[in-house]
Amino acid sequence: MGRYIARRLIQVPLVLVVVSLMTFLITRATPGDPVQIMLGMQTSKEAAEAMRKEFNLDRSLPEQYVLWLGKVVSGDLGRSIRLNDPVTTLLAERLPVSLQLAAAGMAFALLVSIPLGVAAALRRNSWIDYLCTGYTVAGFAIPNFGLALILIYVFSIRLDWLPITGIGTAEQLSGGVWTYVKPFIIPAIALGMLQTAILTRLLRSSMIDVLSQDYMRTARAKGLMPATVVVVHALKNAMIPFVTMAAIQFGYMIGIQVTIEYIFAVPGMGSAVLNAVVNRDFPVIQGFTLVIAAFFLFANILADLLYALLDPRIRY
Amino acid sequence: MPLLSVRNLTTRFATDRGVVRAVSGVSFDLEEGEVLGLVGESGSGKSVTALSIMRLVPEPPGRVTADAIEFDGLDLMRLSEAEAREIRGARMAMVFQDPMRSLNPVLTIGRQTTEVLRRHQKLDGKAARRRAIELLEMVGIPMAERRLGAYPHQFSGGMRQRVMIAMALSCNPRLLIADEATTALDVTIQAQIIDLVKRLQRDRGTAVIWISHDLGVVAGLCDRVNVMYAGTVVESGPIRRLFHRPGHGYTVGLMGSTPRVDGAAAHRLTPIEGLPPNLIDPITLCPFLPRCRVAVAACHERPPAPRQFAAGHWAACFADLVR
Repeated sequence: MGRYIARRLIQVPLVLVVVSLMTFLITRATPGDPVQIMLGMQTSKEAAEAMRKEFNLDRSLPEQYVLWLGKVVSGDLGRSIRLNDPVTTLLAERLPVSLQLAAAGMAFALLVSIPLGVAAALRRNSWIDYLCTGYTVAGFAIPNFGLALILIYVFSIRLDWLPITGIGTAEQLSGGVWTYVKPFIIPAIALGMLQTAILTRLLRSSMIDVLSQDYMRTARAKGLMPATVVVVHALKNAMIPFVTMAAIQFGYMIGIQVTIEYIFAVPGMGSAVLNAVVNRDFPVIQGFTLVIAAFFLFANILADLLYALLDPRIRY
Repeated sequence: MPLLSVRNLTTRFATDRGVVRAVSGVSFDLEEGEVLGLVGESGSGKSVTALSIMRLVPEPPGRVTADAIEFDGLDLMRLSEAEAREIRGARMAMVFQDPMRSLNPVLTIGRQTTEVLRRHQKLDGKAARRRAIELLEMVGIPMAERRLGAYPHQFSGGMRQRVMIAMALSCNPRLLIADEATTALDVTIQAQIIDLVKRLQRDRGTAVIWISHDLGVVAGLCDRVNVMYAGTVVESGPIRRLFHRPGHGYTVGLMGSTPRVDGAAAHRLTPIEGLPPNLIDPITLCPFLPRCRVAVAACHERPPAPRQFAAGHWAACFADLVR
């Protein structure tokens, strides 16, 4: 087990180097000069040159990359060209916000997918199963920004139940849990809809598979209560693929919540990356992409570990 | 009064291609402490008969009807699902074919053994644990205490089947149904499991329904045999009598196709030609007729009624096999 974890952890920096190299090349290959965007057209050539020098943009591409990588290894992600703040400072502000939003989205996905997936598997071809199918198809089909706008229109503008923008902040906690949770509701649904669909479908099919296993008949032959049969004997097996998928999807969410953060004006990593792309703020793009990729990788490792933890037959 | 009395049990399954009559009109009695064999080839309705008695047939797609299934003073057909749950695992228990797949892979042996005790005997965690250790030792699992925390995949096939038997016997059931309990095991392990069941059955006076397609296993264990074909019991009788004087064309064929260790070298195996009938189509004559080697003229005219040859020995066959 320890050796397996070590082996997986060794792979992480290698993947991150590849990711960062690709990000670097893509940002440099797209047109747009960060200095020009920053300073505008009217600035003197000297000022522009000075700024290029400051951010090493006057050097060759390989040099730029190596210089950047060298600093990353020592924990320095560089400074934002536009905001002039260290990228790590920006990250410290925005990562917790994004994590909260992703957690809210995943909480919504779990709250809906577990009961819905189990109910659909237990009552196949009933109205609840059709509801489940319809819900998952809708979840796959509706883009999250589209859903966000619909939810805002219905629940914020028409009914005026929930706020239009923003998410909960720690300060709101003093006003009670509900004031904190309330602004999360629409963003969490919009963000978590796709994951809900993925997880519901997965749990339904793994639950159906488990219910047809011989050991389920043994459990019923023992005269156990239906709740024990379903929760202890069936769900514990069906949850193995579900939990690992949920961990992977959580890592994925951090990366895909850009549009949701933008729509709800949430000051998270996604909206920061989006602004950085618009302004060609290379250090921010590279630093944030690196962190998002690292999250995805660790979520995958976590998924594998959870798999071994839940299934006694799996040993690494 | 018999411990179990089954009258006209019929179990149907709705499928895409029509209604399958897996069991049609099965009746038999089982005395207390008696060991009854159910033999027949795959699809003859042995397992479905057992699952119907246990009330484990999923409805739908299944549908179980019977004039009566009386067990231990109860009419099982009239029990609600909640009442049936109180009986299952407590007064009647079942052991299944494949012990790997019949044990839950993610729960420990201890958990799976104690949960029956906690459910039916209302034992607390500690008492259930102690009792589970006793039971596992009783079925011959060495160092049982240390193995409570193990998972099924850490046990061999024979050990897993011993665990299944321990679980089934944990609440001292009056009836144990073993469905092909030794089929998935090595021959040497088979013999051990059969000896174990025989010993426990004698010590405790448990009635057993032993389902097998292996006549040899049945011969070594059972007092009486029901031979099943196409969802019906075609012959029933005491084990010795039935083996020496089979009264049904199918029983004759079944014995002719079973290897014998005691017989002369000249004994050749004769397979039964053809396939069992499709249970979706209505069966009007003897279901075995198309494959029967001893059919007589009457077989083509009407269905055979059970004929009694001796006390407790009958067969639904026109051919005069027993003289």
